[in-house]
Amino acid sequence: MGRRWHELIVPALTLGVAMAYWLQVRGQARTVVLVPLGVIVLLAALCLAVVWRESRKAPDRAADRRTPQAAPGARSGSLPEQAAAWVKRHRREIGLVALCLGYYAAFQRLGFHIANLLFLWLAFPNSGLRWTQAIVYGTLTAVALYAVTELVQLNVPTVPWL
Amino acid sequence: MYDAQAILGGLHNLFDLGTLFWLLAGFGMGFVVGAIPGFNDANLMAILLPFTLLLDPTDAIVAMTALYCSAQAAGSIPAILINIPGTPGTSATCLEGYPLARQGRAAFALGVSFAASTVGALFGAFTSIAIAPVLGTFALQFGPAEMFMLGVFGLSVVSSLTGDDTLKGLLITCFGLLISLVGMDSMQGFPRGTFGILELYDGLPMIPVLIGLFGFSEILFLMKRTRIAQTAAPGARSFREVVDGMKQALRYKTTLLRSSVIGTMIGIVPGAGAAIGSFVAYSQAKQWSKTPEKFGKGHPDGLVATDSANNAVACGALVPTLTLGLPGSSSTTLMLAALFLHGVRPGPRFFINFQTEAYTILFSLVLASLLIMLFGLPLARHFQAVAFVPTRFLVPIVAVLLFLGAYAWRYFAFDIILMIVFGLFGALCKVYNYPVPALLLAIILGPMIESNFLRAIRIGGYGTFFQSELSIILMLLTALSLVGPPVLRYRNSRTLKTGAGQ
Repeated sequence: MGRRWHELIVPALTLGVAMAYWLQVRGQARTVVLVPLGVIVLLAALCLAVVWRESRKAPDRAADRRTPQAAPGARSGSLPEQAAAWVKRHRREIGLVALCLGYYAAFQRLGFHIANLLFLWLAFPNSGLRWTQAIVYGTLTAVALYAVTELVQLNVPTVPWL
Repeated sequence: MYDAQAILGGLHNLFDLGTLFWLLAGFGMGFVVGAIPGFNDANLMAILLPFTLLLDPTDAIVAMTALYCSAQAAGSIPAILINIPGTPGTSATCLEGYPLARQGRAAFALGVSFAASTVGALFGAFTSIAIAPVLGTFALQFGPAEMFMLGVFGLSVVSSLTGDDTLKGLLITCFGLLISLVGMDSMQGFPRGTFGILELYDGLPMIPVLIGLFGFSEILFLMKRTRIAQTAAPGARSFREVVDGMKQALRYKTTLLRSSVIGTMIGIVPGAGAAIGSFVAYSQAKQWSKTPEKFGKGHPDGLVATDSANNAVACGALVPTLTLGLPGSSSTTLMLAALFLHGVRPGPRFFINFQTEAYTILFSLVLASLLIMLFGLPLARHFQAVAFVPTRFLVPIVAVLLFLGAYAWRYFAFDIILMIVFGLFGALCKVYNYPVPALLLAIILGPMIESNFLRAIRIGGYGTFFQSELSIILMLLTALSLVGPPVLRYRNSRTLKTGAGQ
């Protein structure tokens, strides 16, 4: 069971959302809560069934090796070591997600076009392109997107001086 | 049942110059994407969907239909050239297509494949035109109880058949149902599951959710590879050989007809899928062949069977999608979402309320089927190159398009964050084998299921679900679709164990 804890991530997340949902709607009229309550009860039962099934399974090393996030040897060591190894293996994906969150912040403050430019300048190197190439391709792509949004007159946020 | 005015209206819509242009554009994009292994038509449809909102609804729907149809045929290109199916439905194409390519007859195999695909798709499209209105008329008998049961049946089919694990399928379907009930409830106007976020009061916006689940999650996986396809393809240069392949395919008349019939029938069953259709057609072709020993070594007869069947399945699958609102695959789920977003609501009243649109879709399917042969052959060799574009260029550019797509639906910056959150959740689902199409379908059908459930119990209490024969039949089918796949899997594993023991 200990080595299959990652199988419980999705059930745990869904159950967490379901609990938060229930906290907001409890005590409301019957028509408001009837269907959500039925779904939450069913969801909780299914989560329990998944947990029960996983707890009955023996640790499956072969299956662990097949999962994308588990390179050979990744399951050895303590939990912090495993986490560090996982972060190292997925640094590019983590980098992309961080850049996307940064894009969201830049989008609101600097507008679509500047956010695109900054995102592309950083995302290309994160994907494995050299910095000089990233500046060139990033600028070209951002200009192309600017042209497209102008052409179809898409209402995107911009900074006052653009 | 067959309204001549609606049929003519459908044809008139289609043969507008602008509409034809978008049909060609959709066809071209579907062809590119179908030729890329691992990046299927559902992913592209998810990315393109917000941009189609800039188009006239008819143009958008026609483009999406053409994209859907051409992607199925183009999936055979990588299956033949590099032994990797471009779409799940073309898995069986590898059995005969790749051996032919290894013999240096790649162009011949492409010719056979496209001719068979065209015949299969045309058969499926014409059969759909004939059957869909009949099924639509039958579906008019559905009241709230039947509609509720139909929705539940659709979810049960997709949750149990689109993954290997029914339990996980059901869990993710329930979660999809729950989050589909986010937003103000229709009866009292009480905000449910919004947590004070104003942007969620109208419910979860479908486009950012859909782009996140299918698009953003996919680019996270693309980062692991340097190119989408890693294996170099053997050359497929000779156009003469392509034409020879086409002529050869058309000589297998019985196989073409049998496989097209099998494919269409399997396609009409929600959730059965193109992979099943093509494997069944392949086994039948082998069984009836005078030279079964040549199968598996590059026999054109086998390639004709697989490719005519998988394209017929794709066309047949649109029948339950349009008339019952029951999609059986991620591509048809995306088609359903596209129609919803353009104000066209598939379901039992589809052939009453949207008759002209229905015929426009079905005729565009016929036209796209013909284009497979006309444009497929010259394009096949060149579009294959897309699979070799380095992902270090692809990922950042696609990411920006996803941001734009998520934002452009409602012009809320919040939708970008929502897209990222659902993208991460979609990636988790894919890693742990939770069927993402089931989640999406639950999000689409959830509000319809809830409103019909509440309406049904208000009319006749809980007993209303047991009062009509249709409702009981749907209930039994739901039980069958939930129990059947695990039982079959258990029986298969027992057979394998017994075989290994002997």
